[in-house]
Amino acid sequence: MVLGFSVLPLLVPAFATRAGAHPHVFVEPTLTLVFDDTGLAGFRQVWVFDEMFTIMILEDHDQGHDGALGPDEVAAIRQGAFDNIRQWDYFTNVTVEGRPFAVESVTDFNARVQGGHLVYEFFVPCRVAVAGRAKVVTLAVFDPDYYVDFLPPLREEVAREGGDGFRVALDVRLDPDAVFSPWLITPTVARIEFSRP
Amino acid sequence: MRSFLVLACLLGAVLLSALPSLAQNPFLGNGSRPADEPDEPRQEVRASGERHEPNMIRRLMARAMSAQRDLHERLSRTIRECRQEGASAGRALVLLALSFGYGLLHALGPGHGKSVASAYFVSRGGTARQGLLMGFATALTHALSALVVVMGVYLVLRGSLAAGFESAANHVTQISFACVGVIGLVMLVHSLREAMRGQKPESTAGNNPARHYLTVALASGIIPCPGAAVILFFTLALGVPVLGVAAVGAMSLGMGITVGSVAVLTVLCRGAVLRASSSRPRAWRILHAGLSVAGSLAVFLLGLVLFLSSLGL
Repeated sequence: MVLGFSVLPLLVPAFATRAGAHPHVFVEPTLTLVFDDTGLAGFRQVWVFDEMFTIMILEDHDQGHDGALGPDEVAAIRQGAFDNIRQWDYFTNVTVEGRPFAVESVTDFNARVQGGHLVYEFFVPCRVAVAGRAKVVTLAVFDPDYYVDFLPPLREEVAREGGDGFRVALDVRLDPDAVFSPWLITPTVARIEFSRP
Repeated sequence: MRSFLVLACLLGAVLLSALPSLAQNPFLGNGSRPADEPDEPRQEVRASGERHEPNMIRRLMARAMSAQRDLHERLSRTIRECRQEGASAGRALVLLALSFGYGLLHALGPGHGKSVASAYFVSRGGTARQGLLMGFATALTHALSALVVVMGVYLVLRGSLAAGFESAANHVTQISFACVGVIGLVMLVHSLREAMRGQKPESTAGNNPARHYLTVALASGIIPCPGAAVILFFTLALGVPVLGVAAVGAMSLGMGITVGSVAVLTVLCRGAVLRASSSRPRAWRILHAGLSVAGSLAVFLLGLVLFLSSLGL
């Protein structure tokens, strides 16, 4: 009985294990797979932020307080509220043919305000040449420390650009092997398989 | 033997909840995370071949997480509505209820003084009432500290509010960890001396003067709560700071219940362990001394380890 009783305190603190944080930023990401003539070119991402983070960033960076961001403000936002996540591969976790792909840099960054929400757009270059045999690329957007909560995308929401001449198979599902954080988060992984027809 | 297992469970619970919780917004500059354990490589996401059905615990967790997402979104929506359409009694109640729930859930995450409170009561014992009081004191300090820092940054500092908060929070955090470490050291010395003197089974009653555990609550709770800060910034920017204060007040009640519950559970378990051995004075003495030393050692180590890891900021 005593032993049973003593298990109780393990339940609550168990949520507090590891260096996992509690989310304070909530993002709804949208993904577009971009193909060109040579194969996969990369991923375009659009991140829509929650209202509170939006207000926080706009307070600091929207100098004109007009709810619109000019090029100077976008540049400041990129430097002060975006570049830092490079350390975590911009939360874009990619594997190419089973091997992890490090996201060194991103291009075409833009920040805008849409319906009261801050939106980041950027392109993650990831070149994979198309071949006769199928090549497999996986992509999952999440913060391993769970300070940022990314809404898992649905399969229908992953768009595709280009690659009309290729055979492309897309699967979006939970990957229980990659569970992270004390909240036992199972990331949603987009699995892309493409080849020449 | 059974008591030993219980003791191990208690300590395990305390230590497990102790890991660094220096929550820093990764988007803002200087957001290096100190808890990068070198022997734990970053999670690699592999594409799994077969279809796995997420088990029940993960489904529960997923639900808890979408509950958080929902709560957060509803909170910001309600605040906006209050501002645009006025804070009716009904709307104000909803705001308070949402904030309370948010605080309850929020304090389940790392930090918020659970581990220190737990370790303290492992060492000193006490009554359930003291456990609850400590929980609320910690939560209230945590929320008030956020309020003070946010107001300070807003009124005094020029430049980025968010970065200003992070910077101030880092300093206060370091001080907090140092204080907890010192308190732990004092407790450790006291426990060791008590152990050497020997203690009688009758004197287990929670004779902690309030100023003792309230000081501990203050030391660990002084870290400004980032969750509260986010809400305060939001309401400040919208020009409705009173709503922010009310929300954070309700939030601290919720947090107090969560932290207090952990403290109460610890008190009850420790009591159960000692009562189980009260018929054997020698075993009791060993357990009592062991718990006392172990708990105070945990407080000391918590402060020390967290302080050292915070030096990297």
